[in-house]
Amino acid sequence: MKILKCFIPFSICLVLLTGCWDQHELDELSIVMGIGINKAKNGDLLVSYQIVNPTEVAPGITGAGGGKQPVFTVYESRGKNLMEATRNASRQTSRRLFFAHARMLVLSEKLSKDSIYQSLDMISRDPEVRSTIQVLIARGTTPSKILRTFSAIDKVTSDEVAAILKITEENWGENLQQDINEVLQSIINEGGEPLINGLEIVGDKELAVTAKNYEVGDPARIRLTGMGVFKDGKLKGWVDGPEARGVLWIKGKIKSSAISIGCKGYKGAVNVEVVRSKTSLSASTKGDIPEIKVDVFPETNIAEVNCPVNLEKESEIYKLEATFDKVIEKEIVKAVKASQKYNSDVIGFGELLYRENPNKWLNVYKKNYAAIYPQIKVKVHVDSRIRRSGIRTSPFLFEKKEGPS
Amino acid sequence: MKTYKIDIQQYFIIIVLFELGSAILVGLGMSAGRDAWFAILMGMVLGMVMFTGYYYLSKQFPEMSLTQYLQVLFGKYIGKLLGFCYLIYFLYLATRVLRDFGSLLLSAVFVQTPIAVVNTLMVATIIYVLKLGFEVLVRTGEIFFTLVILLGLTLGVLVISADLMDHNYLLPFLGKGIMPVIKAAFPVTPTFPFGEMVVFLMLFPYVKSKNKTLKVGLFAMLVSGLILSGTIAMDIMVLGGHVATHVFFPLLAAIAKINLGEFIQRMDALVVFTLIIGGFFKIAIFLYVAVKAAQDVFEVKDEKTIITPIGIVAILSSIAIASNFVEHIREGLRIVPHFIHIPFQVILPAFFIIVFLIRRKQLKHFADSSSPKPAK
Amino acid sequence: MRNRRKRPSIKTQKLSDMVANNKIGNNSSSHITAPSEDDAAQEEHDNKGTIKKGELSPNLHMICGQVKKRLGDPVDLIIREFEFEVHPNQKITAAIIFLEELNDPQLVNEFILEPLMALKPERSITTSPEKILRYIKHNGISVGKVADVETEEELIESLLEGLSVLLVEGCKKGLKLGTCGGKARGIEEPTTEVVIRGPKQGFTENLKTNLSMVRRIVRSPDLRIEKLVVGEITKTEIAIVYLDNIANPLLIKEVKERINQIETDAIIESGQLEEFIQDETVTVFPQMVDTERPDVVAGNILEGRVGILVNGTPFSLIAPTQFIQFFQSSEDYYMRYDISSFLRLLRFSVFIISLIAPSIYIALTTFHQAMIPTTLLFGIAAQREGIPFPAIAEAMIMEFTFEILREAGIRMPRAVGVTVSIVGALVLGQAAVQAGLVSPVMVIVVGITAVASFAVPSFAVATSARLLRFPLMLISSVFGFYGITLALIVIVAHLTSLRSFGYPYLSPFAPLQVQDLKDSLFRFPITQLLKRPEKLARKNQTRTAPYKVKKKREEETTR
Repeated sequence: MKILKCFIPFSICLVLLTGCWDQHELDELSIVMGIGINKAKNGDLLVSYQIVNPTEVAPGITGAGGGKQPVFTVYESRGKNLMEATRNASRQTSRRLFFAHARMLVLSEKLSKDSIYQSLDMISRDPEVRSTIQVLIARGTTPSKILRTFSAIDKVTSDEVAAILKITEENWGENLQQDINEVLQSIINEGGEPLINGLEIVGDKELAVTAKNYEVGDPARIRLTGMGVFKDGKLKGWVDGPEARGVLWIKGKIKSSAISIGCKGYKGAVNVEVVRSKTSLSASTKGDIPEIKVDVFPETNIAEVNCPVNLEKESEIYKLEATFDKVIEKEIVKAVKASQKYNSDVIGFGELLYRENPNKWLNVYKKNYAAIYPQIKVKVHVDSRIRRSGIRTSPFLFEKKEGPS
Repeated sequence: MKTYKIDIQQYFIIIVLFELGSAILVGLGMSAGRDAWFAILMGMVLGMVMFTGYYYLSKQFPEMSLTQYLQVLFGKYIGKLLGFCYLIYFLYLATRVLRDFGSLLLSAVFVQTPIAVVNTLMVATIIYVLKLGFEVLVRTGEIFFTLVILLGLTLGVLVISADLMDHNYLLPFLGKGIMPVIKAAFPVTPTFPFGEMVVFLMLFPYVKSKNKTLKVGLFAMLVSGLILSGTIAMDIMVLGGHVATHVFFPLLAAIAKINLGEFIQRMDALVVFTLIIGGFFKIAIFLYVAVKAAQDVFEVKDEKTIITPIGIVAILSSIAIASNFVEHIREGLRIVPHFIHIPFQVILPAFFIIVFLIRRKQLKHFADSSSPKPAK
Repeated sequence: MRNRRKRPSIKTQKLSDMVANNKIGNNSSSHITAPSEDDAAQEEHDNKGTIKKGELSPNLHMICGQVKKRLGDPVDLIIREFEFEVHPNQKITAAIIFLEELNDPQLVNEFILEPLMALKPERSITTSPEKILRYIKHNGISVGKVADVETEEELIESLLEGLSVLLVEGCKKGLKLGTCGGKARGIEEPTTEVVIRGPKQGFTENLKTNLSMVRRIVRSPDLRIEKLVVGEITKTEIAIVYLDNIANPLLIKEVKERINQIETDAIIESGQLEEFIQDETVTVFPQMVDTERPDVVAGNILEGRVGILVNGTPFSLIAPTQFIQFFQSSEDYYMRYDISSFLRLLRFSVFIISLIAPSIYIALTTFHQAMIPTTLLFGIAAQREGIPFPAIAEAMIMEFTFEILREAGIRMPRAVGVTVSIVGALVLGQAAVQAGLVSPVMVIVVGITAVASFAVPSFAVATSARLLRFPLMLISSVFGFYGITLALIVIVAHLTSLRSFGYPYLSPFAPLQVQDLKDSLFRFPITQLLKRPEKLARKNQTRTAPYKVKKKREEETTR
């Protein structure tokens, strides 16, 4: 009896051991780093997968027979939807596609103009894909070309793009990291619309997709460019440069940036580095058309001065602050106007109105938000502070002019 | 056989583990959207009222468990019948949590593994631990409680330091009025997880310091309610109200967003760890209570002999209970609270109290004569 | 084999006696003594009848003959007959009997033979042999430990114990004299528990020496040392050491009862004793601390525990034992509390690492690849390319190889040991990687596991991690983290179900004892460690006077 008692758990173990259902050895997996989705003429999805060849990427391993194979390879596949395409791809791959490390999802402009909804569901449903996957749009090119581009510094394009996005958001402020979660959230938000970063290839596009791209001095590169504005899931247009930054100012997402302002008649002679910034939004919902007040409080340093100005004088600093305030105000107004032009609430005013006055939003504004949004009045008030001016006081230009007299 | 009595701090710990068990992972009260955290607090208050009722009932029979005093209250046969109903109820609860747990694990990690295997492994572990005795379960709980709390604090700190939270997602408070919140709060949240404290009707006699039972119990519920509410609020702040409501495990999704310096990332492994531990304790307590009920109803001498059969029943019924996850969840949210939880958690205990009050005098006589009995 | 061993019968016999007395038994290998023990048992059986008959015969030659017969006339049995004067001109025959190597011949010569032979008899002594014996006992011998021997059995026992026996012709009694001696290992630094700071002396095989070491540390009149004898043949002396004013009397009763209940032929090492008196047999965890250090025994009896010292081995046992004790070193109390707290945490995490590191690796690489940081995943994936085995097989092979190496390294003679480690490290490690049989990461994981298992201070508990590692690896290869977590639950539940002499194994964690937590995973400053462990020390709880009280006292005295 006792032997039997020991035997039962043992045999159960054996039965369990035979079926390793979800077990996948690492060398049975193709690590997908980037997914690109395009639309074929007949309406099918054309999906490309950027798959890493780990032996070429791994540090230290490269020495042993490395360099003969490409760092990554791109598979293309088609299907009526994403899942079909993914499984269809197994006709070409010797290994199971593994999505957990995918860093970016690139949508084509064509697809975005039709609707992005179709491509987002599987990505957010599959337990394997990380919710931190960045969503981007291939602007003026196709996703598959972007995925095929060899990049010079970081070996894998998708990795590089994710890093670029982060750096840009932290230093320049014209692009905003938008992962799949944030895109979905902004679609579902009250009156909200997503804002998705654009990607383009600059340089020799023919060269970009060959390994020779490594060897030339100025290879073709991938660059962030503007942000796509959506309306009902369709790409309507783009906001670029200062407009894009305006959106980030309102959203309070500017972490740092460098903004040029005029000084003593010299255009763009002073560059102000934003160190941190705070934005507060408030809305008045008395009338039929709501009014929104945007208060921005940036803290800045002077980074570069190319005009003779006495920075030791407080009044000069105040003048610079005032000029800077105007520039920001202009950027913000431009951003609002652009979004109103597309009638797409990418900034999240709907959410704001809902927060401020849920009843009125649900009963009045929400129903004809399309009509109301372009008319919303936005008051902008910027109050910046210039805190420091680097390790110099006045610029040498000022000394040169004032010094001898 | 000497029965094991649990300390007041162990009692506190098992309540908290039991309450948090599976509830912390699933989006509790999420139909209230961004006010889910508030729905939980409302449910908690109601649950505490119910708990006070349970306490009152069992105070009348301090050394007896529910299935024992039912036989005193209603006579042997009706009492046994009612006890049997409760046995089925406890077993059903165990089954439900097991199924919940298995499905969640399956949809998150083990996509291709049969649910039977995952559940069997879990129940096998529980059977092993229960065979070592309730004492061992409680003490194991003590150790994992510390571990879970430490993990929770670590994750909390990580979420805060990763700067993922946006308090705007919680606003406006009660934006769509109080009704959606009330709808979300009743009857689901009071019955799950707070009303599940009904199992303590079976466990009260094992608590050592009787005079603190109510106070500490309520405090434990308050603590777990606050933790649940805070967790849900955190989920919403990280994910945004809408995503949080449409994800099976908001906590998992929220924690997955942590990415500090490209190294501290994918911390959801730790959450899965908590999920398994929480699920383990919840199912184990339900199963133990079912075993105790069965022991009283069928007059079994040694509880250890019936642990394995009851465990196997739980495995089988957890597989048979629903054909797919949606059916299971729909039952869990629509049917079970109304037709199963409310009768067993509210109506029947209330009925017992009423019967007790009516038969008080008769029973007092009985209680006096029988009180020395358990002392033996 | 048996014959060959019998031929140098002198040696064998000697050894057998030594083992029987368990004085130097540890030095001889048990293989050789086993058959001779049998012989001894046989002999004892044969002769039982004649011995039992009781009192010593007054005939000196007869006794000597009986003793010779009983012990099989071994070469090391020395019977020295001599005469001495009791009255002027009246000589009486006496004999001193002892086993040569168990006694110090010098002591016998100087303090027994010499004074007796030079005895200047007084007139008043009567000729009754009993009186002569009493006279000798009081005036004739200068040995501290003297007692009467009345039966032949007692005589034999005292001989085997290492005493010498003085018999006088015509007297029905003898005297046993404490002339213990012979060669034993000196006090050395303990080899298994090396500390940087702390006493450097370790127990030896000699029980008396060991007890003296404990007594030198705890100079308290309340120190109790009780002697028990276990083993039908070996008659091993076991000493229970505790502090009467601290230890729980029930615990002491329990310990004594358990030891007394043992019915066995032989106890050669404390490990055997441990197996007899432990609470649970079906477990991989050690249920008693074994230590070579007198200061550890002293520290533990000061907490209310009981030390069990066994003659013939430097390893003494401590009961009851908590799991956490295996992660504490005596040094923790001698170093500053901050570093010792850190070290304790380190040791504990090291134990966890040695337990689960390979299974975590398997779970990560075969189930939860998503949880590996991307860059690291590339690295691991690149190394895994072309490895013919699945991760579990890879891990099993490497772990198994490591276990072989470890065993080989321990048992090998030292000179060969170096070769083994070179072959192990170079040939198996590096070559296996280069041949593409295992991945470098796996080697790292196994390496970490190995080093971690050596960093656990207690060898006993490191062994349990070693054993549990393999089932954990199996389950993780089937269920990933789910399996590991459930297995950990099972392990913890098992630990909580264990008891050591009735005391919960996992206390102070489960059940939680807040006061005792101060000296568990952390060590609080000594001024904070006011109380002895709550459940252990029933009688005298306070260990250190609270600082404030002390301060107050000082103030009062200065006033």
